[in-house]
Amino acid sequence: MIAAVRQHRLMLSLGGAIVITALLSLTIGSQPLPLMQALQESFGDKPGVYSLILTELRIPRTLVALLAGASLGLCGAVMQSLLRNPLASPGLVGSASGAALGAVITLYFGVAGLFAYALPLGGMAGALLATLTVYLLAGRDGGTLTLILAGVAVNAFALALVSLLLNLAPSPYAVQEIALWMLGSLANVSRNELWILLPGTLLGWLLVWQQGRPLDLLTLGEETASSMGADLPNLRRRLFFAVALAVGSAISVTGAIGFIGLVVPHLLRPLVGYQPSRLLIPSAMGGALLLMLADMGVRLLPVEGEIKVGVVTSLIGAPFFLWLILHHRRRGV
Amino acid sequence: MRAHRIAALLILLSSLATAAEPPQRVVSVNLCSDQLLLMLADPEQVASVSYLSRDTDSSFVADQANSYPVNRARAEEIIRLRPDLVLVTPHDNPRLRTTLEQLGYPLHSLSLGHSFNDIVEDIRQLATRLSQRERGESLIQQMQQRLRSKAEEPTHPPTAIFLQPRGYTSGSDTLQDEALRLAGWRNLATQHGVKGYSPVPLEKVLYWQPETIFTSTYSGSGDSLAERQLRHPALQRLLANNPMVEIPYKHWICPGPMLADAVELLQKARVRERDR
Repeated sequence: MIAAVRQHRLMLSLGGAIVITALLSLTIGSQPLPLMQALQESFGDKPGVYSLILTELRIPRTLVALLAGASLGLCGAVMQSLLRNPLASPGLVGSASGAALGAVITLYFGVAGLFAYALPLGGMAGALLATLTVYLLAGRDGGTLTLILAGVAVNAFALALVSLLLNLAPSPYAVQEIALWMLGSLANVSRNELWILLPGTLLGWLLVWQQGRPLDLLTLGEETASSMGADLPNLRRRLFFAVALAVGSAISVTGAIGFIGLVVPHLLRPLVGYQPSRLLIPSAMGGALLLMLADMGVRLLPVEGEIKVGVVTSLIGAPFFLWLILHHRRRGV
Repeated sequence: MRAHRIAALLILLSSLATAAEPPQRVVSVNLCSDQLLLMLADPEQVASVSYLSRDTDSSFVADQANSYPVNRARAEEIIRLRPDLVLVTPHDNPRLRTTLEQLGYPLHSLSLGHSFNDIVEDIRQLATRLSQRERGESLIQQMQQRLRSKAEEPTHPPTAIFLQPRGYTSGSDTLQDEALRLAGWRNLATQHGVKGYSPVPLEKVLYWQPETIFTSTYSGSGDSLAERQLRHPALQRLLANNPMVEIPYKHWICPGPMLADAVELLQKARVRERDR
């Protein structure tokens, strides 16, 4: 009972923070934007510059940050629970770099020009392929070390292919976009990208729906979970697809944004009593919050052009990752 | 000490002697010097031009360039051509320049400044060095005439910017800025303090509200996020009745008499804009 109340409070405060952050992020950009005037213009007959900036630039950007961040947070929680491994996350088990590779193949070699959803489909296929490769390499009962090593190899391979393909791409601008795919960026996303991102994201979330209970059972070990009625092969298939759909869609629009899927579930786990089913939705909310904040940070930094949002998430995430390793080692000893 | 002085004197004398003689084996290693060289020199003065000069997307002298051996600005191939003058630009590899200098090859460097006057100066100096002064002056005059015939200065110049893939715009001290000014446009990027060639956030472009946006996409093949940026819905809504105007990229690679071509294109676009 008390746990339920605490869960409720956590979600409420995360939700409140998301709403406030989203509104704040609409006010941040290279130019000041009088929000009220922009809103009036947007609903009036004569759309002006302010409404153009609000509706075509800032709202799509904030929504993409929200959705992509939520997917990354959620998928981090799903992966960690499913693989029963605290270091699993879309970035570490290859989903993100695989998705970037798939997106790069479709975008730069003409496929995405044929129909708009080729881009996220490429991302999904890449994410699924990379994740499965890591999973098969590490084996179902593989330890943390094997999983991480397999992840490192697949990540390195996928990112090497991204660089190679961008060098081979027919467009002379492709080479300069390597950093974007490796670090991720939300600059200049439009409602087109929002529509591209949306279907796969929602479908992925839907697949995770009500999978909390089997994930809870899984904490007791695979055999126990099976004996208590969890259909593990089905669960695995379903969640791998969910991660591929959600992460593939997000990454094919933003590039491989790192560390959100790793950090957020860890930060929230103690607050939900270490119960996977209670972790999923807060992780999604936390991911959305973190990516929106990181993207605001990117826009506030006084540099020419814009640094990639993945730089900020990695600056936060990498030290955290180190702390996590030390923490585990200390506990292991 | 004395030997040094004599040697210096000899070098000076020999260089004076070569300066007096018009060069007969000129090698150009850069597209910008290629184009000026082929416009100014007698055909038999040219020993080689760079491979880019044959590329019709980049070069205004592609036809002429076909009759000369091409080089890729490598020291070995240049030496093998036994040049008596090598044309270089500030964009060329400084190591190549030092190597050639140390080996005693005479170099002539273009300044490649971005203003009309810089272009005139480059043409004049190169023409003098090639002993083609008259041809140089007539090239300059043609250019001036073409620009002057366009000179019906509008009292209220319409506003424009250049916007390239990846969101780059051209501010002060760029060829595009000079061409816009000469064609009777007001470059909003320069007016808002942009210097040189620099990325500009899409939000700023929307705030500036240029009446026309020019672009020069380098090669139309392939797709990239950089090029997609130009198709952003916000830009499309801003330019609802006035699509972007494409000016071929080759006009902006090198400062030279082709500035007049670019100005003519921009001028035509202004007349269209006025009559709209």
